[in-house]
Amino acid sequence: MELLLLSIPLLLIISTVLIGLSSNALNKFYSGVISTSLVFFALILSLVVLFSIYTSENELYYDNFYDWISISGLNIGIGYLIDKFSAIMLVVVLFISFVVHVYSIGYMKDEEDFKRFFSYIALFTFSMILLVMSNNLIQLFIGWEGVGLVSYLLIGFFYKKNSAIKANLKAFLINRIGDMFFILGIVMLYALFDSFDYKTIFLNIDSINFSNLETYLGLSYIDFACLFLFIGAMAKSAQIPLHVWLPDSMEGPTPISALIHAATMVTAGIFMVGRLSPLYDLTEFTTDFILIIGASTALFMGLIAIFENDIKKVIAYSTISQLGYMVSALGINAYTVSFFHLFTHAFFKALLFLCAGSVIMSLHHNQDIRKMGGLKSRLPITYACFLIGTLCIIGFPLTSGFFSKDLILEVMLYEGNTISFVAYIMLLIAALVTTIYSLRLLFIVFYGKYRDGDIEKITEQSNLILIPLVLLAILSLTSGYVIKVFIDLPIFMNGIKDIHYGGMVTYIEHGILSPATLTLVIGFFIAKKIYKDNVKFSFLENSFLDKTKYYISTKYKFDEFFIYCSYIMKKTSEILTKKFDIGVIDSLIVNGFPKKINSFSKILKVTSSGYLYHYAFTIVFSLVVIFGIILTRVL
Amino acid sequence: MTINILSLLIWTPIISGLLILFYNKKVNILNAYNIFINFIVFLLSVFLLISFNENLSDFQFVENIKWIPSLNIHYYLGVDAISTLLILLNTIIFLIVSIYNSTLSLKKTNQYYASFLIANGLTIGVFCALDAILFYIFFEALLIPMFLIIGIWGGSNRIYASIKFFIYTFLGSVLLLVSFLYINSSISSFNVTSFYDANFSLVEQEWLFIAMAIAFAIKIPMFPFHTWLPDAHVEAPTSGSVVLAAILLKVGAYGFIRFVLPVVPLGAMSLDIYFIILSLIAIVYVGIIAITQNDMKKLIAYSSISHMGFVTLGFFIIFQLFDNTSSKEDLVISLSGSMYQIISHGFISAALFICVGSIYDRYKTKKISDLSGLLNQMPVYSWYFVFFALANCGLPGTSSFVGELLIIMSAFKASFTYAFLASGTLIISAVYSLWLVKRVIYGEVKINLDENLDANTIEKFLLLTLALIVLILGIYPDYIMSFMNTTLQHITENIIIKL
Repeated sequence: MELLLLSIPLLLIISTVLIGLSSNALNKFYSGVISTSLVFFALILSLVVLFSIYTSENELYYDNFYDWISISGLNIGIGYLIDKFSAIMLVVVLFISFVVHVYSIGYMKDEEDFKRFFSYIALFTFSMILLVMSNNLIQLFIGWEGVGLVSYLLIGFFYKKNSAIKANLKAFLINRIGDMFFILGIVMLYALFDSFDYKTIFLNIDSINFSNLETYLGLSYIDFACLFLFIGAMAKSAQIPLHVWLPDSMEGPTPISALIHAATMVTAGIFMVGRLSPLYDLTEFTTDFILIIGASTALFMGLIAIFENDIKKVIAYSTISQLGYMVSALGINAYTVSFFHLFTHAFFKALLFLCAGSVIMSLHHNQDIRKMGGLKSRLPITYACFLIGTLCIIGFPLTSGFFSKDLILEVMLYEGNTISFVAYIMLLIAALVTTIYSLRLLFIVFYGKYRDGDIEKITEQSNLILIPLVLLAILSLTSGYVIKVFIDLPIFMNGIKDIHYGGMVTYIEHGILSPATLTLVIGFFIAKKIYKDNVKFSFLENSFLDKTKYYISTKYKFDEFFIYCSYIMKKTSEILTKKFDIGVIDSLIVNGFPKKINSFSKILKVTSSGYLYHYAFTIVFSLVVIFGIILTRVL
Repeated sequence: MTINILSLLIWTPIISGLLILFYNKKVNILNAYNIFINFIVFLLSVFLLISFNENLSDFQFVENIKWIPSLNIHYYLGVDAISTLLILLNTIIFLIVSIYNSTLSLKKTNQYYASFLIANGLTIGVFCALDAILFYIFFEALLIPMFLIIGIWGGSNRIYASIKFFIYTFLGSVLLLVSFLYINSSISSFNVTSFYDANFSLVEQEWLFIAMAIAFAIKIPMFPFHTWLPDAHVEAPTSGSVVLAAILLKVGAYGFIRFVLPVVPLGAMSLDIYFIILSLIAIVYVGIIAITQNDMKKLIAYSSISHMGFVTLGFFIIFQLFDNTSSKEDLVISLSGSMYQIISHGFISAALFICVGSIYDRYKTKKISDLSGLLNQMPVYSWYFVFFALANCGLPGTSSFVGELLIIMSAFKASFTYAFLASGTLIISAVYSLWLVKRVIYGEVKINLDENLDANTIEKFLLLTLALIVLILGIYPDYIMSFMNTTLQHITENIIIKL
């Protein structure tokens, strides 16, 4: 098993190095095929792992590959901890990665830097695997930073574009804010448990007397540790207010938006909280905080999507909003419910992005939905897949989104305290918002009239693009039916949360009769009237709504806030350089002393003039004074 | 059979350097000779590493000869694990510099090479001298070749920079000599091991600590003694900058762990808070200053100071760690972090200065505002630049992450505030490194030169070597960690026993 597990990351790092360093002699297409087949092998291996963990007696595979640091008092290893939770995540990551690899052979075929692209996505998959497999916090952090790095490199893939290199710097820096807290959280846990190892930490939770630890502002040590770790997750999983980088990250190539900025990397934060769930069970404050952040993100970021006109940005905001759902579920300790939504979301969101990529390619890199329309007839397969993706995200009955989103809403309602009830209402409104923006996109892009010239020129893309879409569409429709697996899913060292589940049929009945269906119907009518039939409602045109709309379209001014912060930092740096480093230290002290010495020596210079009579006078004068003193003493 | 490997290591480059002064005809022969000697020294240091027994805490390969008996001065050499590693760092960097130098066309080539060869030997001398006066002589003599390198082969403002460099560091050295003399006057020995056994009163220790710490703080340099470094870097030729950043700063750090902490721990303990504050200022304040520098070399110089702040932080938090946890292991971890940071920074800063130097050779400017879009013209170079910039901001998988992690970890055990401020470097270092990358590497080309500008074979080889070292140190730090563990345990015991 160890060899099997080791070969998964090895295959990917081989792919990274091989494709990245291969000479020009290697044809683009073949390098893509090599890279894809290596990921495919890794996928097969991960399926073997999943299969064996579900069939064997072993609930857990755990060991170190090698010791990263091993000195007395400090042991950090690079290894693996595979339970059902991480095995499923492993398969999801590798599957989406594989699909995106295939898609990219078609999508990136005209790019000069084709190989660099494939090298990056292999490196990304490697880092993600490292993160998912990890058996300790440091390896988690290494993977965490690794995926951030590749995200940085890929957002800036078109390095000549000014917007792209601004976006990647922004993404990296915002993530670094999160990472700063993340590393603090990690060292806090280390200081408490004297180990980075999950197993050791979880086994020792009971033996630690938390009441003995310091509290600050009424919050316990573990509250802070979990809070800091979660701030790291907020940056990675794009939660308010650290979400600002994700919409801009759409500057990267579209397959990347599907793989990194929708299906896998951004869910790392959710995975992390799930992995550390035994700790999050101990902190009420932090989970409440998580719930508030998650529910607000789900609602407010969804609202922005309604007014966005860039096809990728609409999907990006919808990703943030869906991540908000997952985070909310974490906030009531329903980790596996959150993980279930992560699972289904990975398929349908990757599907939506790849469909968008197909549309963008067919329209020669136009991303503005105001110039689209009526594409249904010209792009039938893309349309069908996009429709399936849309149905999933709005939670249409019997699709995967229906199962996972409803489950979140249900457990939220059953939690039964004030915060969770408010969150439930917010998520319900967010569901309405989701329906509106998703259908808006569908109607504007695929229905009506094409608004940008001759529609006849538009054709479907090659099979390399379409096969991945169909594959993802099938999984988007079906992946919800494994709901039982997730309800019963144990996370290492953390018990199964008790969820009322009375079988598939009851669940479906119950789901259809829930308020969520109502939001679906209302949302459908609103979206149809406004965006398909283009009906103008006179009661919608009042100044209050206009103002609200304007405020939402400014994206709540979060961007401006961060721009202001960077401005402050720059100014501080300039002022400190001029006023202190050059002004005080250099001018006043370092160069000031020589000046003082200079002026002092000028005074002294008078005494050594070189004229003999000056010296003679000094000698005589001194002798007189000395004798004078002696005389006064003697007398 | 006993070979005096340490003497061989010290004197081979010095004597070869003196010999080269008498030959100045064919540059090719000079290049070959220079690289050959540096390579021999490198092999010797590898041999030293292999034959060093890391499980012993005593000094090894000891050579002890009476030198000036009337003054109690000995020619006393020996190494422990940290000096062995620093010697290896030193010889690798000098080998790389000698190969890099062969690509340049210079005035007075033989004298230039001689300065570097002599500096190489003297630095090795600093790292293995176990007699305080011998240490002092090497420490001082090292200034001369560096002073010449900056003053003769430097940029337009080289005279100011070299004199500032010389006076600054010389000021510190005088304080160091006074402390050594004072210690000798009370224990009548210059022997480092007897320094460790000496017991001074608290007041004596405080004064000795201040004197010695200032000397080494200038060398590292710590805030507010740092302003000589940016100027020296800006004016120094590329190879000079590499040696300055990769080696010379480490001499200061070595001084702390060899002379300050184990000799006057009580003094250090009572004044540690000031040095912790200065270290944190270096990390945060100097890092912020680095952000808006317009000269690439200055930016990297400030970032060096900021990184060295981690080293001193790791040194000075050990006393509070001892108060809080009184476990020897925690102190060892903190010191290991500092040592690792020293080694890691040596390679990363060397690589960055080589990158900047090569950009300067081609575009004749180091100003960030003059450059843009280098990736279009020199892709190989640019990717190395991006790699080392990322390494500079402590990306896991590169060597700098290891040291920073261990120090932040230890800092937290000392105090949350320290850890919080120190971890701010995650943001600050990313801002200055990657903003630099954004402006210089990415974007559209600003200065259009038609020739093929990309790295030549030698440069590719050098950068690849450095990149591999940085990666290997980041992926498998355990070798070095375990290698220096016994020595650091021993040093820690020496410190604790006096507390």
